[in-house]
Amino acid sequence: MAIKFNRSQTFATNGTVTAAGLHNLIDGTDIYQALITDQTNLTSVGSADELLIADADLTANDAPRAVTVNELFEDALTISTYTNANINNISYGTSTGTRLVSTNASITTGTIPNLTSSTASITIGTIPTLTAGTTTSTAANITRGTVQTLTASTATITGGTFSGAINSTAGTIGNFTTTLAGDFTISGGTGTLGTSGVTSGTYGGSSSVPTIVVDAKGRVTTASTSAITTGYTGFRNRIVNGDMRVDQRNSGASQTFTAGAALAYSVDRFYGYCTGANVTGQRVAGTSPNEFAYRFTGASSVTGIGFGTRLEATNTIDLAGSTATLSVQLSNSLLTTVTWTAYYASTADAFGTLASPTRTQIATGTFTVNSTLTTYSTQISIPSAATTGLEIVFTVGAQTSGTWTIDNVQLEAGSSATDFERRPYGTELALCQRYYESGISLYHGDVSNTGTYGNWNRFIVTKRASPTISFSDTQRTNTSVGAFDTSSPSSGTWRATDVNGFMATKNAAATSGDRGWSCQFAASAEL
Amino acid sequence: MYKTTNTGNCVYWVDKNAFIPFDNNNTDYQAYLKWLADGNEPLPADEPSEG
Repeated sequence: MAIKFNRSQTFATNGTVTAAGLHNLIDGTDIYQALITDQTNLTSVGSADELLIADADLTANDAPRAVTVNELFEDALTISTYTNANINNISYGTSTGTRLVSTNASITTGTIPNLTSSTASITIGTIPTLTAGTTTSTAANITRGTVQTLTASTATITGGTFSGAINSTAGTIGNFTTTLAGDFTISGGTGTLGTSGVTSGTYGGSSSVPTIVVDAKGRVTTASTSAITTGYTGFRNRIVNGDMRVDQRNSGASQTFTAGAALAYSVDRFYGYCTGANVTGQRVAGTSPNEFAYRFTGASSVTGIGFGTRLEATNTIDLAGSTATLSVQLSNSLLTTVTWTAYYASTADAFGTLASPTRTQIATGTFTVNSTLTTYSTQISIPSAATTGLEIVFTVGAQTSGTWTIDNVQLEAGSSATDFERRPYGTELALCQRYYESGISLYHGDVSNTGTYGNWNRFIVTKRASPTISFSDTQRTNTSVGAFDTSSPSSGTWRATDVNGFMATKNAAATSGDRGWSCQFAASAEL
Repeated sequence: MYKTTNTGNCVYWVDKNAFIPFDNNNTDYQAYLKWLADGNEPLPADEPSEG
């Protein structure tokens, strides 16, 4: 290093050096200027390169101290708060293997291209890669990396792995994938609701109403439609006397069904039969809110019991080619399987006999039952050919003991089982009387001694067909008149019947006088 | 078992003490026709009684 001295100050050879001369020499020395102007610029600074630096504690007699670049860098970034810092490629430790920038630096504004600090706190800035640490920035922009804890309120994160808690209140997380417990998934930044099992579509319309099931989270878990029935809005149950209330034949008394015999009607509109051994059936008190139910009592050697009803074509023709729902309440103290079978008549209202049926099976199935009266239901696809009347039969196997109870039988249009339809008793009785009616036939008066005499007995309800008329003498109350010809019933005492009533006559005796009859009749136009 | 009647518009059902009209929609009459088709014959009608 050249030092320029003031060459204008000269001293004579072997002359005297005066103080004034030395002052002139020193004062005229251009040391500072020389240091600056003659320096060569460094194109790079190595970590081991040294600088001279003056400590604030140095005195005038102290020499400047040397410091390496690394030492200077380390000492410059100590624990502190830096504002508006622009730090590129901080990779402490790589140059010397031991250097640390800071483990608790706080940067409020700036750009950090690569931050690997585990505890750095960044409040505002853009961090392309954050591999560890906590950012509390209100507007941080993290493009990739691993964030252990994110508490920024408006952070935008476009990629990366988040191993800790994310507490951002209004940030944007792009391309975010995580595994969540529950019904929601996030993959590639797209959130997807779990399916609820319902087929997407529109349910309900001008001819059907939707039936939906909603879970506790408000999701629709099942959806179906039920046809809006017309013409039977108030009489949706096609079964008559499905709750067993009307029992014109037995009035609640027990009835014995003979094994192997033809089907026998019991409570109105329902018939029973059995095989193997006789069984008894009876209308019994129902389980609340049902007033009545029907119950078979099993017996040893019984191999099967059937209980069914036949529905007139004119009341079921509209069900052809559609779905109907059968529901019934059942219990059995012995058996666990009740079979249901649906038929349609081969010709209108002609189902044949038990031994020689004239019907076509539509469908059959089973209900698994127990000793508690429970409602069961099934859908039945009624074929378009079933315009001739329907028949529903319930059967059980070897009811060798215990009881089988049936109640609230309902067949309705549509694919949903609705609550059992309870109709007024008078209405239900009238519906039953279309098929069966009992009453008193009475004639009492002065009769001449020739010809015949008689009366017209009008039915309360017009019958489905001209009914079979049976008589019994049990209701005779006027002993002055005779029974209705039980001695020779086919001799002409019965004249004619049609759907509205029947004519009863007797031949007059040889002498005139007080004559007549009183008897109970039953008119049956069952299917 | 069945028995004819003098009126000619019904048949007497002996087992049920009932009169079955000749109506094709009456299921008892349908059963009677089946019974006849199987080769059976009804009993003759009773003699008229007076009273």
